[in-house]
Amino acid sequence: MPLGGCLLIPILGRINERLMKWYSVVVAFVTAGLTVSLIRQAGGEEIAALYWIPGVDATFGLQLTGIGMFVAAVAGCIGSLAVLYSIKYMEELEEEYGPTRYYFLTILFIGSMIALALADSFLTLYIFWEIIGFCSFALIAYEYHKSKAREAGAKAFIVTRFGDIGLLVGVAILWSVMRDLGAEDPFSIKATIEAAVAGQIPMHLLAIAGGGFIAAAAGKSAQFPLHVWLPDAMEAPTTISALIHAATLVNAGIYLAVRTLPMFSLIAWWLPTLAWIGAISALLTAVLALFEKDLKRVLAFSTISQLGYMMAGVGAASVFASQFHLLNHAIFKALLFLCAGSVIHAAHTRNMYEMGGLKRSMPITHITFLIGTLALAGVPLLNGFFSKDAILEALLHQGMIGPLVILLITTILTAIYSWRMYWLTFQAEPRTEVEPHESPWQMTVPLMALGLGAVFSWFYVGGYTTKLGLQLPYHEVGIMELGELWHHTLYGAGHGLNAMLLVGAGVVAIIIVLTLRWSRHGAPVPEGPRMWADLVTDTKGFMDWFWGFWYVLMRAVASVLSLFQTGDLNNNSLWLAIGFIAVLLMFLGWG
Amino acid sequence: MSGYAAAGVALVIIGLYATITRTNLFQIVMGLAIMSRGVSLVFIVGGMQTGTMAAAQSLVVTAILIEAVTVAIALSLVVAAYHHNKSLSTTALRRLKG
Repeated sequence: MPLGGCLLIPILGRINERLMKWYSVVVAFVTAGLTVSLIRQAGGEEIAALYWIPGVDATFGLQLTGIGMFVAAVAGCIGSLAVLYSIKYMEELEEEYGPTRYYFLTILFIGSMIALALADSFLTLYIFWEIIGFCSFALIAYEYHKSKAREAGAKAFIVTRFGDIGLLVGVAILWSVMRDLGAEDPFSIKATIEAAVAGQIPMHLLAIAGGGFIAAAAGKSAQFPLHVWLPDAMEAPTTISALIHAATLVNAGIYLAVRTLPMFSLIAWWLPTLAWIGAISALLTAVLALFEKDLKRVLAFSTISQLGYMMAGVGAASVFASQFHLLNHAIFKALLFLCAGSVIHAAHTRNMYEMGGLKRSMPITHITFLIGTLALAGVPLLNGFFSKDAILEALLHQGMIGPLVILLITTILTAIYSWRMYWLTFQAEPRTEVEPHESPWQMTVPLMALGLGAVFSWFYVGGYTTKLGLQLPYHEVGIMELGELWHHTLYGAGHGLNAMLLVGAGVVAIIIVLTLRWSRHGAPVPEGPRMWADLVTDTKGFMDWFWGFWYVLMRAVASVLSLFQTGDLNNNSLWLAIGFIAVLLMFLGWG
Repeated sequence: MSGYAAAGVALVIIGLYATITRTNLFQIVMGLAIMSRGVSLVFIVGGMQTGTMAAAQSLVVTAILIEAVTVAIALSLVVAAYHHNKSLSTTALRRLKG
């Protein structure tokens, strides 16, 4: 539906721009409705193969798995709110860069993510995986007159490419194994998982594929050491950041890891690796977020950090915890990003040190941002608290103490940086010259909807877990009702100690202490430039330098290779002729 | 019969030689045309020898049609290049140098 719908956008854009924009909104909302209705009627059979490429032996089957449905619904719902929000937010940018490209790519982006989540074929999954990669590249570089935006787009594309190679290798290996096993459809994810669980796939091949899938998931979900592209992707329009961070792109990596969990958890090192990658990413970026001055980049770092939690949740083999956090994070992070968009719209800067005191002029944005911040910090009774605790508890349950300790420290840091972000933006005295104003309704309505979601989404845990395991016989999703969740949180899960409530209390305590301190001594605005903090955050913990080294190396190789490009027509045809003769000789010699 | 085949091969080599050594764009296009004539001739010879003249003829007629289109496009490109560079020499087309 959105894939078909997006094709109409360029045509409508020629006729009437306003019409096209509202058409995009309608398409987005209808899509959201469809994805939600998928959940309602879930449990139905597999939707049959859509079409067939005769030569490749591939069907484009769709399968309504529980996980996939929720990922699709998140993409559809949050995507539609972001599109509605765009109508006002993008007005200024559109004059320079044109709206058609924006709406076309956005709808294609959302549609591809949904298709990716519902696909039951590694080939389809890989194709849509690349399409969302391309869409994100084009949308990050939307403001193509700005060199920073262009570079950020290219960087996102190239860095995620490292992971995509892993996915390609993994898919190819699994395909060849399945073909040798005589599978009807060698690309089918369902059949591959069944074969793996039955022990039909050789262990060493499974291990290579598993490694490739980890690389792919780390690339798309911006995990260490491939996290460098995400903070730079903040050059994108804020709505796109919200889409990338909450609804679509980064969830793809987590989804991939969860979807293939039963298959690869047979490999001994696979789960611990995921847990450690997640924990390290979470800690590193939480530290970086403490020093960042750009509002959107703080949010970017916090996204990587929260994705780290999800990765660790997958690493603890807990489908429920990681997916619940994915849902909750999508809601509150979309909320935070759209709030940030509203703030930037009003304050005309992204530097938090130049904001402050916005709570009076922007009441709706203030309240919704506050809710988002508290959910991010993991304050009890908001959705972030429950899912984060579920992840920590799963790690404890699995006895993964190392990642658990790291993530506990990260929880504390999360509380500090998110409260700092809130305080610098909305509290204290105004440090800005412009007169901020509240945003129009097209922007505040999505904020309020997401704000309500952030407060209440955990009530849905019962329905969520019931449907999560649909069509996934090997995933072992425990069903958890609301009362049970309460019980777990209040009394711990049978190991006597009630660490999770302690964590929640600690988070609240930190927020209170910081509030007291900053309301007495003023907001934590540094005096003068801070070279080291800026350097560390700009290079994402020096990882930019690591990848920069590879960049320089590739440039050197390319400059040597470019000597062969003489640009001379006769020379080119000479080599063409030589190549042709060589092929001819090969045929004659070996034919 | 082998004389015709040899003539075809000779035409291909002449055409190839022209495309590699000439610097005038028109001469290169002519070289390409000569090459395809040679290929057509070899096709006809092959068709006669294997007794599949009908198939060979239909292929060659198609090839002639396609080649007419190709040459038309090539010539229009040459004209465009001339308008752009005010020169018909390949030495003026060096912008793809690495």
